[in-house]
Amino acid sequence: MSRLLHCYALLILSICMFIFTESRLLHVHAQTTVLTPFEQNLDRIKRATVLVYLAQETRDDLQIICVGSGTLVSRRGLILTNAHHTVPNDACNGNTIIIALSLSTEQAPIPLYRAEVAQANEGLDLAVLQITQSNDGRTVDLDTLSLPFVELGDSNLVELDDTVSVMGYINLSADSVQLRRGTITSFTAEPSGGEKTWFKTSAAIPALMAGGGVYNQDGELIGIPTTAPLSRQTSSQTCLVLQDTNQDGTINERDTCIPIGGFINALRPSSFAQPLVRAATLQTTVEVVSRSTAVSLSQFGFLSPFATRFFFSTAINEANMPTNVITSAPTGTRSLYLFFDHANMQPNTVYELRVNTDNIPNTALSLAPVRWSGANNGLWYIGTSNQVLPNGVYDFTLLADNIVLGSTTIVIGGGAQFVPSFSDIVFGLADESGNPLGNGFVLPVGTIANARFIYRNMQDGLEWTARWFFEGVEIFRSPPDVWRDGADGSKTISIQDANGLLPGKYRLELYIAGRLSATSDFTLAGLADGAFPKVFSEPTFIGGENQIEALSSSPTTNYPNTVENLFAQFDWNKIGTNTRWRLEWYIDEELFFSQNLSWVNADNGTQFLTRLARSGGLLDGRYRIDLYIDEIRLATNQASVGIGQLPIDRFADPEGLALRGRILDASSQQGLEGVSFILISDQFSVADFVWNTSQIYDVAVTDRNGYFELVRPLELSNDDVSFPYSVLIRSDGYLPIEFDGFVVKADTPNPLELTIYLTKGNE
Amino acid sequence: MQVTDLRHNAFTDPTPGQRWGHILVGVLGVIALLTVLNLKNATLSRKTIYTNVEVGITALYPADWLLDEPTSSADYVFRVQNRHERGYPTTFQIASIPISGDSQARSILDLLTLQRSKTLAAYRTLLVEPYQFAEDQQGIRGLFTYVDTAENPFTQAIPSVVSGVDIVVSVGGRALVITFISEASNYDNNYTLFETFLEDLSF
Repeated sequence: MSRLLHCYALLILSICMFIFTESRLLHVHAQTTVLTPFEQNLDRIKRATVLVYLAQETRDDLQIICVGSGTLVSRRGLILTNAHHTVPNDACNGNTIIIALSLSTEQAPIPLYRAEVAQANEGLDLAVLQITQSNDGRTVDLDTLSLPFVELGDSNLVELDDTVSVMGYINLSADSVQLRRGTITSFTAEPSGGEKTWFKTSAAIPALMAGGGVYNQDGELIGIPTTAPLSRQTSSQTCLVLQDTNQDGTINERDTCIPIGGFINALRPSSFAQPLVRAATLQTTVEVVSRSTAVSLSQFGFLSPFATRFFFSTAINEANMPTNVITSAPTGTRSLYLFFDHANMQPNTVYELRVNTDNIPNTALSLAPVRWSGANNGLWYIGTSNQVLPNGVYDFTLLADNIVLGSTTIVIGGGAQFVPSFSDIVFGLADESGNPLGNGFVLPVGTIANARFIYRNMQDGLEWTARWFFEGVEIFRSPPDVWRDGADGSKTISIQDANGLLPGKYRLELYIAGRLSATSDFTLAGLADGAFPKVFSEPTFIGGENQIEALSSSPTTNYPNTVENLFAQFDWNKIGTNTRWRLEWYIDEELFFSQNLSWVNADNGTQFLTRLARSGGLLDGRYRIDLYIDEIRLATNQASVGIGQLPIDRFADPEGLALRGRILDASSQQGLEGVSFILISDQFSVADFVWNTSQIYDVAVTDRNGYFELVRPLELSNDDVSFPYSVLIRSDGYLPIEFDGFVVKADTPNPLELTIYLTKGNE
Repeated sequence: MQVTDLRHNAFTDPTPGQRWGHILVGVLGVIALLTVLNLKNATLSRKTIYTNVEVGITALYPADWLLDEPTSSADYVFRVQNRHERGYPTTFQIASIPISGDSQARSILDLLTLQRSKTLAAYRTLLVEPYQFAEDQQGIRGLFTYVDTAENPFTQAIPSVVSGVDIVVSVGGRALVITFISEASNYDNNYTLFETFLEDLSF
C-alpha cells in the first residue's frame, strides 16, 4: 500500500514539475526588459566572430604567418574577412587557412576548421572564405553544417554619428571576442565606391580586429574594420612574434613575426562585400573567355608607385571627374577632394593619406594604411563630403608602401572669393546651338569632340588656354587666347581631326592665366548612333559545354536549371587598346560580379564571350549582364534560368531568438546526455505531429552535461503575427514532455536558457 | 484510567468487507499490470508503413521513429531514426544508386568506404560478406564502424563509437543500399529491429 502511495506521490510530483516547466516556458516573454536588436543578438554575433590564421604547412610543421578576425555570414560556413591575411601575398605567404571559434563567449577561440578562399578582391581587401574541413582534415559536409551567422546590412543607410559596435579579437588566443563601441565620425570618398567608400569611427580598434565585423544598432553587419600591414618584421607595434621560427629554442625578436598592421580608423562598408558573399553563396564562377586584362594587373609591376598632378576640387560628377579646381576654399566648405594622377599601383600596394590641420593630425580626413582598390594608373581622388571643414591650413601627404609620393596644401577659411574660374566640363557632339549632346563622357568615334564648360567671374582680356591629351600625351594646345565672352556663362570648344580621332582615353585641361582651373577625362569609343556611341551590341545568351559548342548554338533567353554553363556574347565597335570597361553580372537584380577590365582585343570584332558556370547546374534566377565605360552603362540584357527566381532559403534569416538549455534527471539533478529536444514548426501541434522531419523546426541533442541548443533561431511573435511552436521531449525511461503554444516575443531574453526536468517513468 | 491494547488492535482479523477490498485491489493491480504490459508490447511493435513508388520500395518501420524523406540532393531516399533513445539515434536508411550492367555490388561498398572516409572520423570497414535475402535474392553485406562527432561545435558532446551495416542489392538498373547504424554499445539489441525491418521490406 505504501508503494502505491509512493507511486501516486511521484505521479503528482511529475505533473507538478511538468506544469511548472510548462508555465516557465509559456511565460518567458514576460520576465525581461526591452533590449536593442543589437543587444538581443549579441550572443549570436559573438559566436559568429572567428579568428583566422594563415599558416604555412609543411609535412611535419605548421607555422602561423598571418592572423586576423572574421565573421561567419552563412550557416554553411562562409566567412567574411580581409584579403591581406587570407589571400597569399608577399607579406602573408601561407597555404593553409585555419578558423578558430570561441565555443563560449567568455573563452578564447579554439581552432576547429580549415577553410579556402571562395571569393576575394585584393584591392578592396575583402575575402570570403568557405569552411571545407574540420581541423583534423575531414571534409565537412556543408549540408549538415549549421553555424551561427550574421546578416549583412545596407551600409548605404549609415549616417554620421550613428552608433556602431566593432567585434573581433584583440589578442592571439588569450582573449575572447571583444566589443568596441563608437560612432561614425566621417566618410571618405574614392572612385571605387563613391561618397561612402570608407567609414571613419571614433572607436579605438586594435589591429587584430581587422577583418571582423562592424554592426549597427539593428545587429546587422555594416562594415569590416580594415587596415593593411606594410610588410613583415617592421616595428614591434605592428608585428607579433608567436613561434620559435628559427628553431633556436627561444621566442624573441630574431623569430619571424606576424604583421598585424597599425591602429584601425577605416571601416570598409558592407556594400563592397555583398557581391562577394553573394557569389560565394551561389557557387557560381564568372570567366571572361575572350581576351581581356584586369586593369589592376600592371604591365610595369616592377616599377614603384608614383603620383603627380595633385589638386583639389569641391565636387565630383557622375563620371567621377572633378567639377572644378581650387587652390583655397571659403569658411563653411562641406566637401573637399584631393585628386592626383597615379601609376604602377597594385592591389597589394598599401597607401596612406596623412592630413594635418594647422600641424595637428586630422583623423577625420586621414586614411590609415589600406590597400589600393583602383586601376594601376589613371586619375584618383580621396575626399570627404557633407561635413563642415574647420578653418585652417590643411597639409595632405600621400604615401604608398611607406614612401611619400607627394604632398600639397590648401587653406580653408575666409569669405568666398570671386576669382575667374572654369568648371563642369561635359563632352559630346554639339547641336546647332553648340550644346553637346550624348551621355557626357563617352563619345562616338569621329572627327570631332566638343566640350562645354561653365565660366564665372571672368574678365575680358584674361589669358586662357585649352590643352587636349590622348592616352597621357598632349596632342593639341590652343595658343594662349584672350577672353572675350564676358563674366559668366557657358562656352563650347572642340578638338577636330579630319582624318578621324582615334578611339581611346582623352583629357582636357583648361587654364586661366597659367593656372589649372578645370579638367576632365572622356572616352572615344563606338560607332555614332546619333549623338550616342554604339560600343557594344546587345548581349545575347547561349548555352554549351564549352566555347566552341556555345558559338555554334542559337541564342535564347530561357534555360533549364540543368545547364552548367551559360555564355553571354556581344559584338563591339571601335574600342581603343587599354580602354577601361566594366563587366557586371546580377542575379534577381542583385550584383554578384563586377570587374574592371582593360581592353586588349582588336578595335572591332564579334562574339566576345563571358561565361557563368556552376557545377550541378545554375541556380534558378534572372541573370543580367551590364557593360560600362566611364560609369556609363552602354549595354545590358538578361536571361532566365529555371523558374527565373532564386529559391528561398528558409535558413537564410539569422534574426530571432536563440534557444538553449539543460535537460536534467528530476531525481538526481544530473544532466542527461543524448536526449533529443524537438521543436515542432508553428504550423503543427503535438497532436498533428506524425514524426516527419518536414514538420520539425529544429532538433537539438543534449551534450555530456545535458546542455542543448537549437541552431536555428526562433521567430519572434508580436501583436500582428504569432509563431506558436510545440515542444516534444521523449527519452526512453522517462515520462515525455509535450506541449503546444510555445511563443517567444521581442522582450524574451535572448538567448533563452531553459532548465527542463525529466521524471523517470515507463515511456 | 483506560488501557488500550494496541497489539490486539493491530492484529485484529479483517472484516469480510476489508478482505474483499484487498482481493479487489490485488485483482485490479494484476489487470493494470497486464494492461500496461500489453500496451507496452503493442506500442513497441507498432509499425508505420512507408511506400516510395518512384524507387519501388515498401517498408514497415517502428512507429514514432522520425521519418526523413529528403526532397533534393541527399544521398538517400528514405531514413528513419529513433529519437527516443539516448545517444546516437538508431538509423535505418535506404539509398538508390543507378548502376551499369557491369557494376558489382562490391564496388558500391568500396565507393561508400571511400566517400565516408573523407567525412567520418576513424571510418573502418570491418567485414564484407555475401548476404541472402529471404526471397533468395543475393546481396552483399558490409560491416563498418566510425566515431560520430557532434555537428554543433558549441556543445560539449563526447564523440561516440557507432557501428553499422550496409546491405547492397542490385535491382534492375540500380543498386539499393540498405543501411543500419547504431551506437556500438547497443548494436546487438538494435540489430534485431533491423532484421525485422529487412523481413518486412519489399522492393
